[in-house]
Amino acid sequence: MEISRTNGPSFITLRLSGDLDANSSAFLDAEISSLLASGSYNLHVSLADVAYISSAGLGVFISYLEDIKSHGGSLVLSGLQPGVLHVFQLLGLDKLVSIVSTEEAASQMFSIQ
Amino acid sequence: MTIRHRTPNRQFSFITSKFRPLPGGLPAIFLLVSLILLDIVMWTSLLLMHVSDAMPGNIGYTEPSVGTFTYRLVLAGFFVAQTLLWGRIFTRNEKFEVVERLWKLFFVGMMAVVGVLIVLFLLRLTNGLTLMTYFPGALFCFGLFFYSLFLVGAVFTFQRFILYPRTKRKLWFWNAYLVLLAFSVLLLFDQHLGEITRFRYWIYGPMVAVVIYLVVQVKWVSYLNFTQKLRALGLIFLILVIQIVLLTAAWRYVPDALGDPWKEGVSLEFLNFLVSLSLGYSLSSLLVLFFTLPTTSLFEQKSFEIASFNKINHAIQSKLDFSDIIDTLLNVCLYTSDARAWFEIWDPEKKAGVVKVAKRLTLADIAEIKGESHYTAKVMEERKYHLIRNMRRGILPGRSPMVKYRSLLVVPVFSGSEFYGAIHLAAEPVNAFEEFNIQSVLSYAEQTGIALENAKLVKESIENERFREQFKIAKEIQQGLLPSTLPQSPKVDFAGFAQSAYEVGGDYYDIFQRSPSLYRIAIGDVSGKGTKAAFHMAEVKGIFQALSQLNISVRDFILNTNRALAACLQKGSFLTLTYLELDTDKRSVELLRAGHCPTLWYRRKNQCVEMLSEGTLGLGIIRDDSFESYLGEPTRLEYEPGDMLVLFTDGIPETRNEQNEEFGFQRIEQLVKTYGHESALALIQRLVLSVQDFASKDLDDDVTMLVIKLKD
Repeated sequence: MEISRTNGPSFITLRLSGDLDANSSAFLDAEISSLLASGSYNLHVSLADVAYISSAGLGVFISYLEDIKSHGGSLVLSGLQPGVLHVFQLLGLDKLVSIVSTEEAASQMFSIQ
Repeated sequence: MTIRHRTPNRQFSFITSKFRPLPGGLPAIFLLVSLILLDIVMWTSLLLMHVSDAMPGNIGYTEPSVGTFTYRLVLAGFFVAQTLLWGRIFTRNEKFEVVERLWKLFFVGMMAVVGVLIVLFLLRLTNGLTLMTYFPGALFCFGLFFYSLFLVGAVFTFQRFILYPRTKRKLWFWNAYLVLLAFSVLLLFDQHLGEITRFRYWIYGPMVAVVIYLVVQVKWVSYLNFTQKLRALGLIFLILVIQIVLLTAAWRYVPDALGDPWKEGVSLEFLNFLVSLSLGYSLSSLLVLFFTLPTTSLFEQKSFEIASFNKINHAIQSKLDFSDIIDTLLNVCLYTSDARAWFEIWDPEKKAGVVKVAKRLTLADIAEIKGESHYTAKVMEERKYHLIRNMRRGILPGRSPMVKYRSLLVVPVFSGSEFYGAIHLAAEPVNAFEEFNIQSVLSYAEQTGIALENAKLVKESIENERFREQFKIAKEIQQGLLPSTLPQSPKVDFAGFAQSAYEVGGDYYDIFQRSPSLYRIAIGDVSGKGTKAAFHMAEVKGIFQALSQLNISVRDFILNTNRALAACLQKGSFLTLTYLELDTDKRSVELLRAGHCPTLWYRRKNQCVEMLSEGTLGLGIIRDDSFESYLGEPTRLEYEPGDMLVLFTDGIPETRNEQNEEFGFQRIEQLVKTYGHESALALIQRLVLSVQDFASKDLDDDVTMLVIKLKD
């Protein structure tokens, strides 16, 4: 699992590649946790290179949902592969998180706000 | 630098059986007895010959009255018997203890000296008394007995020394010596062997070579400690004196007393060869002992090092207390040099060493020695020792130009990648640590590292064993949480399957029969795997068992479960659940999917499979009351006999094969469609086998299935 970070004008982009399983989700957790601690609540996570997401990976997003919302931020996921998207849909997370197809769409989401 | 200490267990010994059976099966004791008899017979004959020839009236005899040949035959027999008997006694395979054996030889030597001196005294006393003329011959026999006894004793005592330790080549030379010795007995018969005696002196060539070779075999010396060497030195000196006394007596006084004809018989190669080895070996041992005396400490140090390794190992195994281990390590290090020492353990937070144990130094001394330097950090970084040969600190302001301790050696203690700390040795002289000091300390440090590592591994494996035991218990308990028997009814048929990827898992299914026709059924999956998931799963079981007793709707069940979980699930953990209420009287099912895998509905009528994917969020994701707004209405279905409901957790569709393909929902659907007409148990077996065949390796997720066959 590799995580690369790009600081945009109004939001921060995390690009993930590899499987988001029990081991690698710990790194993602640490990354998001430190971002929130530094006061960045507008997050865009690109999952275009993530082929598999485990329940632990989903748990990372879930655990920060409330925090982000209460600070007026938002979490946008982009580029989900069909399998990953299906997992989000099954769990109903698509109702809670903004899921868009491309990174451009994601940045538009933030500019609208 | 000398070390005075006692090293225990320093016995150079090799033990073999005392009495070897003879080829004929006779015990060695018979051989010994017969040798004693032979010796007595030969010596008595010799004595009788001398006494009878010296009888009054036979004065001035020139040759033995029994004839030279017979006399010499008896003499040879006596030599052979004497050699075999005493050789055997002196080489009895007892423990090889240098000093003890030398003592024994010394006593025999003293006995021989006393014996010979008495003989000489009596000779003097009887000189000129014609009535007592048979006396010299008798006395000669006594002298010869003691003299040869001592020589054989000396040679065979030294045999054990020469052959320590035994090698093939040494044995060969020793045997050559024995052969030459035997040959020298034959030379007694020079007058009767004719031509051969022309070569009589040729034997001296090989004999000298063999003796020279044997005389320098003094390896045993290096195995002695200082005290043992001193004792051996003293004893060998005394033995040498004894030999000189005996030789002087034999060469000078005895033949004079006997007269010329007998003199011929006394200067014999046989005795000369014995003398050459015993005298030569005594001399060489004496010199070697004397000259190796000052270097004994080096050998002692080496053996002390080996003992120290054991000491460190023992300390670590028996104490398992870090301070004790370090204390032992420092004590051992101090033996190798006249130094002061302290140990600093590594403090990862301060990134510096902290003084743990100090020997013959105060903390102020240590601060003075260290000055501004951080040696512990330095040796940790470099992973090797640091040596200061001549410490000066004059250039630093406010410091005295001279420091008391001029030499400093810092050695790190590692085990694998873990750094424990560093040994510091300080000594006053400049250049106090030589290469061998450093090597010793390095090897102690290494040994300590290895031992600490081993101690850690042992501790860990004990711990692991305990964990394994705990997991076994956890597994048993968790299996108890799943239903052991499923309800039996003519109207419905249940079959379940559960398998955890680890010892314990987060999957759960349960069936509660509320009335003869009403069943409440749940299948769920707690996020994550292993122990954490298993604990949450136990909570889910509690919630299900509590809520299903109540008269509440499907919707309320889900709502209340979410509320209950909000209080007990860890942040980021969630539960996916499908909950159904089955009424066999009404032939209806009401179900609500909360983030869980869709349920498959096999319809017998047209043999098709419907995926019931209508549903809501997983539980525990939204923990406040806003959850209700996401909660839709449950799905209601009316079934017909022969229909089937298949519920499972995501472990089944997400099982991957070698090509990293997922098993997927479609394969499950297809299997259900094909085998939906079979019994619940048959279908579940088919599904499990298909998934197991498909999987490339062992399942890495929990897998759970529940099949409900609906009947009339």
